[in-house]
Amino acid sequence: MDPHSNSAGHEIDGEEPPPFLGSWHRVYLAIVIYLVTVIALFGWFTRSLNR
Amino acid sequence: MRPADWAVMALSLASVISYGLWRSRGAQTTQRFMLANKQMPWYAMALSIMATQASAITFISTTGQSYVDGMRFVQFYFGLPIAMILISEVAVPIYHRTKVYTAYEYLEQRFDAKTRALVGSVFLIQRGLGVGVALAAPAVVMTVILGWPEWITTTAMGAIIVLYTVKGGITAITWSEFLHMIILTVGLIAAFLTALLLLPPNVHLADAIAIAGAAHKLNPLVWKFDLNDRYNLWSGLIGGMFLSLAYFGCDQSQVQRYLTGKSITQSRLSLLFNAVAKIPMQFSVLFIGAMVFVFFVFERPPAIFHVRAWEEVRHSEAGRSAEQKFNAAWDARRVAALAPGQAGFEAAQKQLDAARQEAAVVVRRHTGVEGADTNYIFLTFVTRYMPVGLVGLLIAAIFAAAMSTISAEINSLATVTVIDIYKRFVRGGATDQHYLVISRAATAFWGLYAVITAQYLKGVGALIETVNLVGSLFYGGLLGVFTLAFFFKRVKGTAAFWGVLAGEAAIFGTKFFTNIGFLWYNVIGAVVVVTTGLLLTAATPRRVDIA
Repeated sequence: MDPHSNSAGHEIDGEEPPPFLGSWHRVYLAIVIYLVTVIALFGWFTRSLNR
Repeated sequence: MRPADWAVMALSLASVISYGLWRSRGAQTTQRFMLANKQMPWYAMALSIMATQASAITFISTTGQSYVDGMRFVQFYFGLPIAMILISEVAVPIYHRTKVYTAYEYLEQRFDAKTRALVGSVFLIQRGLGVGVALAAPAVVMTVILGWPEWITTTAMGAIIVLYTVKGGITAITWSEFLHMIILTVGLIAAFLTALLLLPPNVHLADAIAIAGAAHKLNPLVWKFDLNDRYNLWSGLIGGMFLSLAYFGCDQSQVQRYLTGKSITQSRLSLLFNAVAKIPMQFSVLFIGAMVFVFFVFERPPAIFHVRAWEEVRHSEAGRSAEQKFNAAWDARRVAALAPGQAGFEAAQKQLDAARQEAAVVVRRHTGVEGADTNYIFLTFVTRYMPVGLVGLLIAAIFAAAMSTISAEINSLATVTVIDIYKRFVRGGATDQHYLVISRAATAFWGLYAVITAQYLKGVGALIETVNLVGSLFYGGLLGVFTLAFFFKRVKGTAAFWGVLAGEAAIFGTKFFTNIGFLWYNVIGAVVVVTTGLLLTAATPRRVDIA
């Protein structure tokens, strides 16, 4: 992908890297992992406590 | 409420409003009024986004939802983090680059004026209905606390909101919301601790969790796929993602929050903060609702939480009979809760539910008030059992929540009215001062509109569901047209315009002719808009430009 465009193909002006994890795609991946973990924890919560 | 509560409430509300107005001091321009001169830091936008969504309804209705239906409502937010990622990656850079005031302004750059006008109008209808529901919620509060007529509450609230929104614009709103989120968090923690501390001495947190679990209130994950079930993992992930995409990506009341950011990075951080924080926050609110349920296992509640309606009928013959059954069922459940063995508790809970149903029927027959008392459960707990001072804080938090949501909504409604309708189609090329005056007049108009519509929406069931249902009737159309704009460069204005109309027709058809859960409306609407847009584009002969 062109480093100056996003996934919709639009050119981005003035885009900076995030203040942590180095790139936005790594930040997004971290959030997806977080979501999966939260859902798994809720599954455990429901199975063990909702009797 | 006692005098100390009134004092705490007045001080808290005055602080929230004054802080917002103080941060917005200085000369106003339309850009400052609508976009805070694009100088907002990410943390202020992040809390503002959260506060705009976390209205009074979050307090009043979500806790009651958990009391009645358990914690499964939290699944509604599962799609939100994914939506935030997509918006951060796709929409934020486009909105910043095109330097728009509204999301719909971009649609004219991408398509044409009629598509912008149509989508702007859809937003005005949808958000106009939503703002009435948001204002109806605090009216519920005052009905319970003071017995004030709801129209007085809505009018007084509306007047205060309009005054500070007209004066300070989005800067006052954003900084007020920042402070409001802090009060809201303190209030939630206080409510949780009160519910736990007021349990009998021999009932600890672990026991409370066991009781809530035995009553099937601790169900934040439902695996089973069912199109007719509103809240399960799949409707939350897919339907919730579509709803969040539409709400945060295409609804001006949210887009305007992050358009105030200094940069793409600041706007993205504000959205991604919500991607991480929203689910735990809703989980906490629902868990408080479950703990309030346990509290009322040991403290006898009224048979119906709509206390005024219940008091009207409980001394009638039918009311006395219903109350006797309720009391007997409640006593049996209390005994079952303290004895081991889940079967006994479940049976007692079913008996109690049946007794509440009977009481609800009596209320409905005699007063016309619907039996759904979800919105009154948490308020009954707060006003009857919270310690002095904290009641005032909680009520202030509910009011601040309502004010921040409504002020943000009328500010966005005014922005779309002025930028997308008035400036574009009525009077372009006037001075900045002229548009500022019109913006303030539009803010006052939408405030008045909210007050009037709130009179008609106060009787609806669970307010939180009503807000989301109203949103889902229109969000599919909005999301579909923005998807076409962002991802399908070949699609032009006319195809997009008819796509929106087809999508809305599909949503209303689904609503009136099927039992499909409302979260799926967003998916259906968006898919129909995109499909129609693509089919019309394919059917239209491509124009060949000859150099």
